[in-house]
Amino acid sequence: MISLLAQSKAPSLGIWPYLILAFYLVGLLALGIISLLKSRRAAHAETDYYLAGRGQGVLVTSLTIMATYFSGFAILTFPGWVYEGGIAPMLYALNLPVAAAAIYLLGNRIRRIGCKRGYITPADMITDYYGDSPWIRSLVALTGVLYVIPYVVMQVKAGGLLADGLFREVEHLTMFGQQISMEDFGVGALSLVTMVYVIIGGMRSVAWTDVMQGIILLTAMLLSGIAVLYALEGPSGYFSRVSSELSGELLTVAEAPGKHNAWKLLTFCAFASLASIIQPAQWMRFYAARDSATLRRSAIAFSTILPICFIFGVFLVGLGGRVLYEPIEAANGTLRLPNGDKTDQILIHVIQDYFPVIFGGIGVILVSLILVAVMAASMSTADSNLHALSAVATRDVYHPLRPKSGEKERTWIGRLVIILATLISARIAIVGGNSEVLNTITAFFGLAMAFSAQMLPITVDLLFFRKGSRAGAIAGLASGILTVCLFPPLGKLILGESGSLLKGTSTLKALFDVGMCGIIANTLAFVIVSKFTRKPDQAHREEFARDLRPSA
Amino acid sequence: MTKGSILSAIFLLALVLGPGPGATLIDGTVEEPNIWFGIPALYLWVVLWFLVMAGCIITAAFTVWKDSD
Repeated sequence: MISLLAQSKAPSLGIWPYLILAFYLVGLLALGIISLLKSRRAAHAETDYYLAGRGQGVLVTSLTIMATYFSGFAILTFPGWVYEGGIAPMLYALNLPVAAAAIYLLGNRIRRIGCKRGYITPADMITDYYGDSPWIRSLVALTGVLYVIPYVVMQVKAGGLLADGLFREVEHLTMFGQQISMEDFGVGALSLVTMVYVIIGGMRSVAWTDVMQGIILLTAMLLSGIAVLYALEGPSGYFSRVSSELSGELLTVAEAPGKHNAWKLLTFCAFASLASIIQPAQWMRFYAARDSATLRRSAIAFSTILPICFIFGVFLVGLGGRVLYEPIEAANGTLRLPNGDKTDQILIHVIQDYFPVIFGGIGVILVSLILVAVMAASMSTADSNLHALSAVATRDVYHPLRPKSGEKERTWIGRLVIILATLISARIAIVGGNSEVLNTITAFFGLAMAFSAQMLPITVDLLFFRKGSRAGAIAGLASGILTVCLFPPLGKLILGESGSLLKGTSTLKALFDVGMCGIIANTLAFVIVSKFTRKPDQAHREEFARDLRPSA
Repeated sequence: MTKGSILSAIFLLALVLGPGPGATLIDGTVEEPNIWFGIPALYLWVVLWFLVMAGCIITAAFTVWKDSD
């Protein structure tokens, strides 16, 4: 029966995808309107738009941090990695408790001083401590932008692909006399809805919609784990078949430099986790948290709920999927699902094949709900990054160029940035195809976390040590960013397809997290240059340290 | 040693042993992967170190981290 099910064509979802998607999108817009109404009473337009008045409680803070942390990557790519590589990629889940610890240990200090000194972006804090200069502000903004832009474009594109999967019975739509594919329609519709609720409600709207998206997504991750356990006749049947039917390569960790080797896993858990938690959108969520207790409780929620959804949810789908669906090898040597789909579609296959069997009529509704949840994963990451990009562009670029601009003016410029960024991202996603622009953005996306990690040395310095100088910070950031640029896939675009330098960085990438390699160059430059250049005044450093401490 | 430093030490140990080289000590060989209680040892290893790391954070959150603002 199981093999028959596995080979069966997924049942039609009927009208349910339309109903659930309509309900979901209307819900998002309603939350945007409610947050707009709430923000009209705000005294400080900019703080309210970017940080929701610094009053977000534990439910909103924890779910918005979680929803921003995982993108479509969590629900599609990770199960695909497990399907291909077995249990070893599951060890990546141990990056989540590291990120959770950082939410309190770094995030609470960032929140405290941000509240006392009125910071909105990461650059506000860094330039306040090291001293403002166009160089340091630009480098901090660049580090943020290198993370944010590729994420927005790729999430918008992923949203389109998911719409294509959700409405697979519809080949195209005709609008204004033109035929539009479902993928392009999905990109357009998701971009439009995301843009509207981010523009009208700012951080409050983004965070509230993240709550809705986060709850849908976490439920979907756990339900898909239940589906695969059912498909393999319960937990004992599941592990019995996994242990007996899967090869040893899938049940052990590969030797270095094999994929998912122990050093790669360790350095990813230690550094990529921190890179993701100090990217601009998360940093602003720390500023927006109401108090210390909020971040402490958010750390508890993050360290438990998210790993449970991975370890007992989507990871089980990837591993059980390998038992249920024998992979085939594509012409280029990559593994594919039996029908030729990419392996990151494994979760979609499992739920489409088994939910209707497990849950009967309601199974079709749940399948539609989970497909919408996957879309929610993309949207929750895209909206947070669009919002952060708007803050970085207005506070770190526009304000220094026009210092006399008022809060309201900057907030409207921020909205304009969101419109432009959304239109450009959608345009690239729709007409990009295999274009040079999309290939370059994909290359940047592959290194986005490594770029974000370059903020770590100066963040740790100003929160804990305060030994560095402005020149050191500039040298460190520049060295770190340049180092990351040498790694593939970006390194291939810069250095060409061959060469000893690219060979060296490719070898390092197979062994270690790229962000860590950048951090080593970054820290060396930061420490050496700081040793020979002038540090901020002693009084300024002491005052900064005092503001980092809890109020008496 | 304070409770904070003990928890930090356990957490760092979990980080090194869990995803790091520690995993290669228990997973067996490609020819004969270790299976404990009918479950692949590597999966139990993931669950074990997740529990240790989450346990450290929960303990720290309730006993070490202070809400002093």
